[in-house]
Amino acid sequence: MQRVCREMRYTAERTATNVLVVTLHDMAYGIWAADGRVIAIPEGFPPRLISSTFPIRRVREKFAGQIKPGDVYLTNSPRDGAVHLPDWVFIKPVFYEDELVFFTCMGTHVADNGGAQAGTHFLAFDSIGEGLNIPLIRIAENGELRRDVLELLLANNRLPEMMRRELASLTGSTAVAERRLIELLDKYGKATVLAAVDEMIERTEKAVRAEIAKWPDGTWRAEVQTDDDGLTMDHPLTVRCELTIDGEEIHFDFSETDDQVAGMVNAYYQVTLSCVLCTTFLFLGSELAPYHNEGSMRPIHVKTRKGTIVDCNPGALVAGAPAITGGGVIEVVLALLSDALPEKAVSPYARLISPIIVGKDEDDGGIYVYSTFCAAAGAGAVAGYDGYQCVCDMGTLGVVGKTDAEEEMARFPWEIVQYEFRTDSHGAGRWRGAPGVIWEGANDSGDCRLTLGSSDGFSTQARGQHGGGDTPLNKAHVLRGEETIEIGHPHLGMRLKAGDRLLTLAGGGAGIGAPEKRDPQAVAWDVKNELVSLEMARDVYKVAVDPQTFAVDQVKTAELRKAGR
Amino acid sequence: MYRICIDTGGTFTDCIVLDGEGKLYEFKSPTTPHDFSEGVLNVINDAAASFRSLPEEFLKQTEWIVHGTTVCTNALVQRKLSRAALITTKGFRDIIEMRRSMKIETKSMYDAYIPPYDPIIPRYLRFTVSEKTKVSGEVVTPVDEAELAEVIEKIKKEDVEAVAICFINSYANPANELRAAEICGQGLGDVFISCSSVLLPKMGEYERESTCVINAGVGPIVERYLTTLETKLRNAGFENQLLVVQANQFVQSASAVVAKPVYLTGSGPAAGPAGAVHLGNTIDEDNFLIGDMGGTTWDAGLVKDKKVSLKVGEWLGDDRLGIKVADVVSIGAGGGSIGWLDTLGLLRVGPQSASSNPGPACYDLGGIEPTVTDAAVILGYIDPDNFCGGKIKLRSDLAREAMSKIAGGLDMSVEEAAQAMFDTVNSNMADAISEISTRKGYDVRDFNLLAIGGGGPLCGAFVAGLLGMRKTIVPKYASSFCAWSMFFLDIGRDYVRSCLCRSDRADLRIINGLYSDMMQEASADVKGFGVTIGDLVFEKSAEIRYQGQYHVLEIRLPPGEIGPEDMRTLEDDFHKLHRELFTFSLPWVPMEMINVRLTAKLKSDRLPIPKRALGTADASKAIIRTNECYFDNIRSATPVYDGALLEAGNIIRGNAIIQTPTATTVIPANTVCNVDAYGNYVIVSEE
Repeated sequence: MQRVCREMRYTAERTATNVLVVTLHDMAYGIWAADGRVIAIPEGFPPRLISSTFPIRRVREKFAGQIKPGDVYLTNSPRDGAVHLPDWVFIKPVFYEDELVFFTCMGTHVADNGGAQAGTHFLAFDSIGEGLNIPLIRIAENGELRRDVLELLLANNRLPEMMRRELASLTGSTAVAERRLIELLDKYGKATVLAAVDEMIERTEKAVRAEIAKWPDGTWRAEVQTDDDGLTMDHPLTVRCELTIDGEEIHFDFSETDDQVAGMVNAYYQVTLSCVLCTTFLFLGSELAPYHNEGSMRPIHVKTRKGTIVDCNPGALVAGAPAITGGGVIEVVLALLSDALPEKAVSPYARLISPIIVGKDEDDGGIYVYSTFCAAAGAGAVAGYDGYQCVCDMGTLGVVGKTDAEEEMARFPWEIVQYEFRTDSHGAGRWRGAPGVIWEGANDSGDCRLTLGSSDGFSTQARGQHGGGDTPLNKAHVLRGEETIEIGHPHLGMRLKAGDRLLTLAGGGAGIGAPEKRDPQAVAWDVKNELVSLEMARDVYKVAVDPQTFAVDQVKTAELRKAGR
Repeated sequence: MYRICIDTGGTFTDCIVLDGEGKLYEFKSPTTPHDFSEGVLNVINDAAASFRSLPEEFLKQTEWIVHGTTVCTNALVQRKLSRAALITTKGFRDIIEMRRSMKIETKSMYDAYIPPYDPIIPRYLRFTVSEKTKVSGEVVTPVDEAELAEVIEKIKKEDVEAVAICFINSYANPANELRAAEICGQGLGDVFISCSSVLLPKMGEYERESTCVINAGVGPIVERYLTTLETKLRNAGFENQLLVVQANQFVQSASAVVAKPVYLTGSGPAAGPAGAVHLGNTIDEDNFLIGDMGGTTWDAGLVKDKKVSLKVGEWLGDDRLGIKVADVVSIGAGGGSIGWLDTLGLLRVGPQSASSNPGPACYDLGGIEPTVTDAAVILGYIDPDNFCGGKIKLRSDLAREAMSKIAGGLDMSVEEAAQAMFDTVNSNMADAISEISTRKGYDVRDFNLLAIGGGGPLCGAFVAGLLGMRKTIVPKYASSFCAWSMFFLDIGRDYVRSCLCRSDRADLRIINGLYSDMMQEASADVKGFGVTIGDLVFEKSAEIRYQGQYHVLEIRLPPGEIGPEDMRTLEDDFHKLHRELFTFSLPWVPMEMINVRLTAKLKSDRLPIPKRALGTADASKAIIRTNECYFDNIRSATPVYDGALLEAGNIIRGNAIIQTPTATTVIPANTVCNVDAYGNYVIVSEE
């Protein structure tokens, strides 16, 4: 039985590898039971993982009695359970001996989705302007894409050729999952596999309940702010949450969160639920990490109030739902669980800087969409360790990979000029956040459009836990000849000229614990490696380091630390 | 004349000698981690003694020695690397520390409590210089030699043994890197220099730089080791060629390996799959999962349709290696693996090992922790009086004493604790086997388990049982199988060049130019063997993808000059393979070539496998005694067969044990062992 479960997980992993073959975009995939229960919660982009349950349940409702082998369903509409419009979700029912046994699901962020602007549109007037809305439809029948529907979709897209490929590969990847699942059913028999699924879900639930039972009972409150609402700059929004741990169950109550807004930072309930669950899983420990499924979700309850930015009404703008609002939900859950479980504290990652550049492709006369995560910085500290060095933001829990600079230069008319860690750019602490990142690219081609729509953290910060430093603010500039133009409001977007350089300065992860509690040797090591300056060592960490030998001056350090008390 | 293959493993140094009459002889000596060459010389002395000759005479009559060594893998696994510095392009100081993303593929996204990465070269030893090469290969800014001179001065003060050089876009044009290497060579004396464009000239700075850094970290260690070994062998009278096994299934001269030492990673176990292919050709089996159980590790490999499974790029712990190597998964499970109780009171086995010193408790060399070997002694599988042909007397009382340490904690009898340890290690090994097969998308039940290494025959049939595999094959030279496999490796290397272009617009002059460049490099590499380019067998391939994709597939090309027809075939084959692997192809989408690859090898002669004398099904005359053994906690009288007395055609039903001086094969209940025509034990499940 155990082995079936393991093989199922490998199956899911292998399927994912196949998708990585065709796309680097963030994605979600997984396996659901015929009744809509999650069997394998895979690794992927948190807002999208568990939320895929919603469109699968919609398939069961909307197409009740009409689901056939060879079907593939598609939606990007949050009303039908998707996350935001650029995220297309493909669902394939898996039949065995004429009976529906599983659903597999694959979703990804597409490079263009129509709408008023190329790429993702962050400044729309309404949800129609935000992009093409695809309610849940049947995109393939008898294993063939429906040509008429396909034509309609592609006619509304700026990158029809690329989309044609993506559609083929995404539906293809669900077919791979199907093939593997059928092999599994052939091998062990349907009864055994389905029994293993029930067993697996039950065992996981038991293990999760046992873990939560160890946590202290009580109630905690926290809030997190975003830079703006996506429309009115400098108008921060607040995600508020109350956590109650009660025996072997936990409750998150988001009722006090700000009302939904006219800008693009609203999120539907499924996004909030997904982010809460994924973040809670972090605190459930490494042993359970590979086993989460429907059972893990049962003891965790998420309450929201309709009409807020974490549970918006149909028609709200949602372009920033996953990165900004989802990121906020993740941060607030980290704060609450870190307060409740100090020995397991996890600090937030750096907030996201993610340029999306759209320009003319001089090779084929079309457009290129250059979307990169390279500019983003690293993880926050966790109790016991400094933040993991990386290039990734909170909303992804570290699963989105960066691309090699060489690959990006070969692919887009941009030259990457610098790309490395910054000094003094992390949230300080007994355990410090990972360093921030400087990234600079030069536009080697004609004029193009820049948006930093999903970026955040230019005027608000993510909180360090237990006295650790917050994430330093993000900054971005355009260098045009001798001129330096500061990008104060990343959500507004701007036009770049040929030869312009884009310089982003990402703040690093947040810290945990008071900086003056940090091991002075660790501070001296950071100074030697130029991640911490002598000044920061002295002023923030209260450690005196010899500038020649990088040895800790014990006497002066003792004085500094005494004076600071 | 003799030919010798020597495999230095974690615990034993194995040696197989082929004499002038085509007979094989097997020798074993403990590995000597303080200086691996000592163990090599010891085993040669043992071999010489058995031929009643002095080591000098024996070595003088030796035509060649092929050697697989763990020295590079050990250095990496234990992070005992040479102190190295990195010189890279200004603005790109942290590529090896940023790696790919937040969490490398080997870590779960739900696992937050992982320490930050500790790069092989710390930041303060990573230096930058101004230089710029464009994607097109055009050098915009040559290396700033004044800056480089300053960097060299700083490096001199840091007492490093090696320098890695990796510049952005150096795959497109290595000129700046080579110039920097030249200047460093002049300025830094005998510091080992590792240059990324020489080692792995392909696009993707992270993997190229990481490979270059690993190469720098192991370079001086490998150089010292091979120099010591060669000197010792020369002093002992050896006059001919020393060949070293690389992880890519090829052997090379010691001097060629010293230039690219990173190819030594996983050297020993890498030979096993090649031996499996040869064995498969002889006994007509296509698919093997290979389980090699030594004293310290269990190495799992895969052969499908008589082809060795290779992989490009792998995580070695937290570091990325970009070269193409035999796909082997290693876990800490072996005869010396120690049983212990974790904080939850659960029984764990390994990854710590008692290795050869002090060794298992029953060796009486000071080991006090219970090991898998101790468990096998307690369960009655290993006979304490006849271990290693009676050369090593084991003490079962010490095994029991060590086992009682965990038996108490588990509230079990000593025998039950031994059984629990044995079951645990078998299930760990089964997991490693299923990892390598399911990763490739294969069903383990379509494979035979090839159980090799000192411990493979002991555990193999149990591991196969756990995985539902029907057949376990214990080959004749099971315990020295990797050394035996080295007879079947070719001398050669693989080469790669980046070649970015659309396949339908490819300039064949450029492609053929890259191939002739690689072929010249290959012929220079084999110069030391006294052969010319005409003696080499070439295999060409290209890595291509659909425009817009990020990952490539490797497709074979014909060996001669590439013509337009070959390009069309390449495209067709790509569509076909893409459809096979991913269920779809995109025939209307143009394809891009990314890399061209070449392998060049000298064919070695194939050693025929001799047949064993034919007997009947009845094997009873090989029974030498009956031992009391435990199977699934049940005590049962178990016949012990002497492997030397078995004949082809013998059939043995489990429970039974076959004993030879180098291995103990356990045949569990509900299985039948057939001795095949070549003396291999084929254990088949009866269910």
